[in-house]
Amino acid sequence: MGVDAASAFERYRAAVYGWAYRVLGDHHDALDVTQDVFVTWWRVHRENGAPAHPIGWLRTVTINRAINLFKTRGRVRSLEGEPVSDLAATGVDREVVAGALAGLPEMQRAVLFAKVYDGCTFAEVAEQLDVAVSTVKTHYVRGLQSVRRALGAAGVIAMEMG
Amino acid sequence: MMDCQRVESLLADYLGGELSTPEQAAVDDHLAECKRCSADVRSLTATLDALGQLDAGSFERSAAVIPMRRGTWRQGLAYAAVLMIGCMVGWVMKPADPAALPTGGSTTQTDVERGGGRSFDGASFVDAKGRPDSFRRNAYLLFKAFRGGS
Repeated sequence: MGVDAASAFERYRAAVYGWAYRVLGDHHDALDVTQDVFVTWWRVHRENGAPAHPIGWLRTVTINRAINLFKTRGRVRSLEGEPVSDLAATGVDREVVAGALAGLPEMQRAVLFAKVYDGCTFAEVAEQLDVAVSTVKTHYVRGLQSVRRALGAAGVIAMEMG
Repeated sequence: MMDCQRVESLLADYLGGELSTPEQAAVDDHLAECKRCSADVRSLTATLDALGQLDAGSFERSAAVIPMRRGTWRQGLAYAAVLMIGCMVGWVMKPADPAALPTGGSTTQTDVERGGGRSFDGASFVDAKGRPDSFRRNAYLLFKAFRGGS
């Protein structure tokens, strides 16, 4: 069982780090989350058996952990008056985008990450999350609409109405 | 021509790039005529663009050195546990790619042949592309320290 956990670590650690980094934008925080996620994997794997869909499980757990840390860090840094954003070069405020993602229900976040960042098809996401394809599509559109509202309110994108 | 309701039902597939060519062309035709739908799609596309600009970082960069500076004992335990996982990969499993074996030192394969893992004395680890893999190296060194430097 430990071998499977180690194998998962070796196979997915870069992906887990990437998901965490997208939310947090900080190397050390992303590394903390990566390690935390695999410790959790190890514990859960040992006690409850391996998840049926490793990528879906890892993505969901990673994003949740990263979002939680993002919220904590955001509060702390806000109190300290230190900016967390490092996306000035790309013209997008990471804090705003990550904050918009943080405000989504878990399933919408997981679907958006799988679709936008991992390039999965709706069918693949449905399999990973063990839900219907139509459900994935609904979460995808609703998630995008929620993020659009948040980005529009923050002035990151134009909210045009036809 | 498609109506707004039909376009809305295809929105996920359209934005997700999963429509067939004829369907995509039909949606595009509708968007060219319908200001409301085209505005909706434009803003959702801008949202996707904004999401797409979140950098995933580089794991190579992250793997350079495992920082132990954030000093809570729980984090220290977490680091140790995950490093142990990383170590197990090198110690218990035979890598599929021979290039993933450590270089710069001798590798003892007898443990592998016995099914009990292998031992390394090399201090340099590389990944499948020949780049330094400090994460595995750190895991190995920590494990070695746990075992009393054997």
